[in-house]
Amino acid sequence: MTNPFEEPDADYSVLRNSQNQHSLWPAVIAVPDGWTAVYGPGLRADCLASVREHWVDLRPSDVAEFLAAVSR
Amino acid sequence: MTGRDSSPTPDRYPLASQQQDPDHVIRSSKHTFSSALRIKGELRLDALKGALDDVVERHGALRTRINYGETDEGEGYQEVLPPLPVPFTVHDIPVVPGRSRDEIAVDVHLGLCDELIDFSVTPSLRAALYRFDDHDAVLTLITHHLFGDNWSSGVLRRDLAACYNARVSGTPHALPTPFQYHEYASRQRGFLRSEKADTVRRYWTDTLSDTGMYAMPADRPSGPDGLKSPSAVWDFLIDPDDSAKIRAGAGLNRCTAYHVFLAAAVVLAEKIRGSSDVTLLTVNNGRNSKDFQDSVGFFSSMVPLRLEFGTCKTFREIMLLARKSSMDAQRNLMTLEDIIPLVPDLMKPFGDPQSMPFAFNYARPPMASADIQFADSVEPVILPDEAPAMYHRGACMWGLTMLPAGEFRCVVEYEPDMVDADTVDRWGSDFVNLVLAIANTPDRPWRDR
Repeated sequence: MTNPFEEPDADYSVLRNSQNQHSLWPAVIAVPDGWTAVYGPGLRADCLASVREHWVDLRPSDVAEFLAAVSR
Repeated sequence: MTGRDSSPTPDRYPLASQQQDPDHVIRSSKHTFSSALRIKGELRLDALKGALDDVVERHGALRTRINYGETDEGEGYQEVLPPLPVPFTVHDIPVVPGRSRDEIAVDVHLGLCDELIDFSVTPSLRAALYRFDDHDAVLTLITHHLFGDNWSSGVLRRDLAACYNARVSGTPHALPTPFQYHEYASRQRGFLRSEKADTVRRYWTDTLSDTGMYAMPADRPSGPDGLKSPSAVWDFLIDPDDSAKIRAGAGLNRCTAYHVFLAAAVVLAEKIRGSSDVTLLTVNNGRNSKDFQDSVGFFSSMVPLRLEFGTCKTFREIMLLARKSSMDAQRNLMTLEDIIPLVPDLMKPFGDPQSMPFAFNYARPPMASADIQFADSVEPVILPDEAPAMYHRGACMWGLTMLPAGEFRCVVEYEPDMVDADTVDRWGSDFVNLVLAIANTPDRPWRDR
């Protein structure tokens, strides 16, 4: 059996967790706790493009916290 | 257009850049704005309750519901609900032996600093009245940061006073009709798509492309997460005499106290890090359009100010450079959320575990004391020692406030795990000395500091 995480022709989803981290996830496997599907299911290439588009925030999540705390 | 009142679903408006929350951070219920007001004299509870409702009716931001659109993958939006009553509770404060009313008022304020408010609660205003007796009480107000900021707290106090006085006297108030926050959000979206915005983006790219945000060096790296210790505070009150001199010294150079503080901050930064090219993260009140001076909402934003002062000779030249840099930024105002993608390396120094992210905030009271009066007298409750209200791990926050009486208070909030109290005390003292030197002896060469 092939590894469902590395199947170029299978459908994938993009998941995101509360830390705004993104993950490519095979559509055939249930979404794990703590993650939400934010894109797909769709082609692996499209999912990767979506991750690149949405995960551009280069701030460490600590810095986002800091900015929220100091913007008065 | 059909009448808004008969419309079954509220109108939808875009979110402002300030309200976007990709990291799920701003929406936290701990990001609140609170005020505590000591009210003396006869107070009519019905009029106060009515005035709170009037304020929510005036300011749509306080009855706004945000949908981040994350579950349905759509774009986030906000909708403004019809007027809603403000939750208002009244409590009688028991006599506490050995504690004065002033001390108890401070306790009430401190308790308020720990209160939470969910961002999805509407209206985003909750009030409580703590009564010592019929003629002496503390009123507390709390809103979520997504619908307010420092300036808004002042607008809220003024409007509450005017609405209360109008109800008691039976004569209408003379408050200006405020522009609504959703109008700001829509204008900002429009601006970001405009040609003018491209000019502004070029300004920020040119100004910041080869620099990083200034961060304070830590004495040691931060410990593992989960071992958080409470933040510590260095608090210094500049006496009324010196505060007046700072204002006067700034005025002689057609500057404000803020420019003196900025100049002192960059000279201190040079002393600590050795570079005369300093980019400070500053808090901006975001009211660059006169239209929104009377509005409540999340207008404030973080703005990077870069001062390259290697060629300056005197304190005065740095003060003037601070004024120029701050005016240029004001003319090209754009939120940090919109600047960061243009200059991705800007925030890198904040990720260094040996450094403490640094932010510089100067807050003036936006309303004169005379504008917030009702009953016999109303005064904000001032904390004798600034509480670490804005704690964040590994951060160094440099705050300057002008108290209602005109003195300046300098508050440095920091993480004791990363830096010794002695180090912060040295920085703080150097800063205050620099402020006084710049204001009083502007012709001194800064390298002699």
